[in-house]
Amino acid sequence: MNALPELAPMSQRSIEVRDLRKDYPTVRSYRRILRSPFEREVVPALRGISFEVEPGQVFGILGPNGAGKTTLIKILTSLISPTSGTARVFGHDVAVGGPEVLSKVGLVVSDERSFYWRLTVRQNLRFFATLNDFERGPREARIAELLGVLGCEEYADRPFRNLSTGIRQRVAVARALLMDPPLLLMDEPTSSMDPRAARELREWLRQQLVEGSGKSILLVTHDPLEAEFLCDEVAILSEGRFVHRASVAAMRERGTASALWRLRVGGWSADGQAALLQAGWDVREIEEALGGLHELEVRGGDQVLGELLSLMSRHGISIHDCSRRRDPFSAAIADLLEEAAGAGETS
Amino acid sequence: MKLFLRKMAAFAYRDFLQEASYRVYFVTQWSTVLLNIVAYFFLAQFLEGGLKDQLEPYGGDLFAFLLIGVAWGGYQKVAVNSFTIRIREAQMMGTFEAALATRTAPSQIIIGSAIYDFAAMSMRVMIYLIIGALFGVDFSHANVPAALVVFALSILAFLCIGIGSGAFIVMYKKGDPVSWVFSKLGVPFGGVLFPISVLPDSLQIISYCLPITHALEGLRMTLLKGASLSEISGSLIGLGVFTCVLLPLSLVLFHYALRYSKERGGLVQF
Repeated sequence: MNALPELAPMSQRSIEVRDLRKDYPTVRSYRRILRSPFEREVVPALRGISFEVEPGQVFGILGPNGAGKTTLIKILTSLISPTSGTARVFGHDVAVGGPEVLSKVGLVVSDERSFYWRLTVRQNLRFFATLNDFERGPREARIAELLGVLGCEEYADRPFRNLSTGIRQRVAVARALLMDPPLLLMDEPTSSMDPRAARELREWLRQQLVEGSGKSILLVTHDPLEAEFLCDEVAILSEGRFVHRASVAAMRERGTASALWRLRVGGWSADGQAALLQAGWDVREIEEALGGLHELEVRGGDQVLGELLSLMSRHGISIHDCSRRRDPFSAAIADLLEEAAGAGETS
Repeated sequence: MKLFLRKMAAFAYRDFLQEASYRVYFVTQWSTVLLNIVAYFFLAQFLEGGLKDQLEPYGGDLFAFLLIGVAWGGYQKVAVNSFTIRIREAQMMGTFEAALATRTAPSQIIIGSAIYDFAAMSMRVMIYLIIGALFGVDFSHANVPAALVVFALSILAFLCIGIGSGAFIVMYKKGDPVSWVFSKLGVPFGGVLFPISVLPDSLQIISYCLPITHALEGLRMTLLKGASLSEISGSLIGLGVFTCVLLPLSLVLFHYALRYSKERGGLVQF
């Protein structure tokens, strides 16, 4: 695990989290309550995490289900109280909560049910804008502006239930941006979108919000591609702890050796396989394809792949197809999660 | 205050739009009001004379007695049920979390969630009274200002019950003792369908422990007999005591419920 850098004195960082811990009380059976009514059992969701997000930075958190990602987002929006430690949003303590915190934060969740499906897009946005203290005039202007920017004008007066998932998610972003907050908390914002709609939204977020407006984003996601595209820095959260934290570039570097290639080859033989293994290549035969071809899986980065291909050629193995199955960034994430899961099992 | 009222109007408008979008439900709900009035009218005709002595203090008209009892019983029903139903609905739909992530205080979100039901109930009460008058109920002696004082105090007391029951729903999601106590005891002991004087003395003690008993007593006396504030001082004191006790209690309970749920992560779970 990487050593975490010392935090600077409190500043106007977008997010500053120190030694944050959250324990949930467990639901006990009636029998256990009767046996020991005053005993308190807890399940740790966050075990003392620390990090900071600078203005204009996109910080990604990846991790398996139950790692504590959503708990963290809810603590930062004051929906859950931390057990110990501190979390500040632009210097405001989230445990105190209140409008100071919530006016700085826009929350985007993947749950489409967080809207009123029988109301139109405009009616939904009007309602949430009023809850955010907007007066009628500025409210209408802001809604019109956001619908325009997000390309949702034509859907403004349609019931929310009649929209596609992609448009619904854009409306969710519009709602989060009503207050023009300097920080967005995004919990799997593209999880239910088709690849094209997801890519468009990511590009818009990166270009318009981060590069264009200098907003900070805390992105919680399962999707390594999304994290790689959007984030400057990522952290792997597993069982309530950060097991690794690095810039996206460093993560790519780390995953180079673990990148996965799928090859379709001809002339595959036991001798050839032995030669490759002897040369230190992690080559695995997947299946025998049609026409006497073989499917192989090989671990290795872009720069070393050339060596492998020439070695194969020397042993009479012909390459019919070569495709990347897992990019270095995704490979690094997968390896780290695997390591974390292994460590969790042995501990 | 202006901001608060604007937010309450937004909640009411949101729920109106949602209710109105279910057209058949919307129409049948309001038709039920008319059918209820017809049913109470003929029930009163059928039972007329049976409770003559007990109805005498209220002018002797059973239909008028029932009309006011059912109308204000509806307010209590809204208070004890609406908060719990609306909050739970919002928790299950996921909209509660979205509302809590805005600049509006949780207490205002809770109150706002039931505001439409209170407004719709007020409309129903108006319809009850207008159609009641068309059916022959005599409101010519009504002391409207005194009735409004009782109305305001009873709404405040009911609101406290609602906030208290909302607190339990925030904490435990299902199973709310406040709602259970007031909804189950209100009809048999609150004087909704018959005067409490028909109950044995020992059971009348329960009646006096319910705010609806004092609210109905005060409203019937002011609307049907034109009683002055001094003549209904007992009801006013009763409602005042309830409000003074329930208001801080419900606010403390609600504050505790929020803290409890935030600590357990249960604010947006269902």
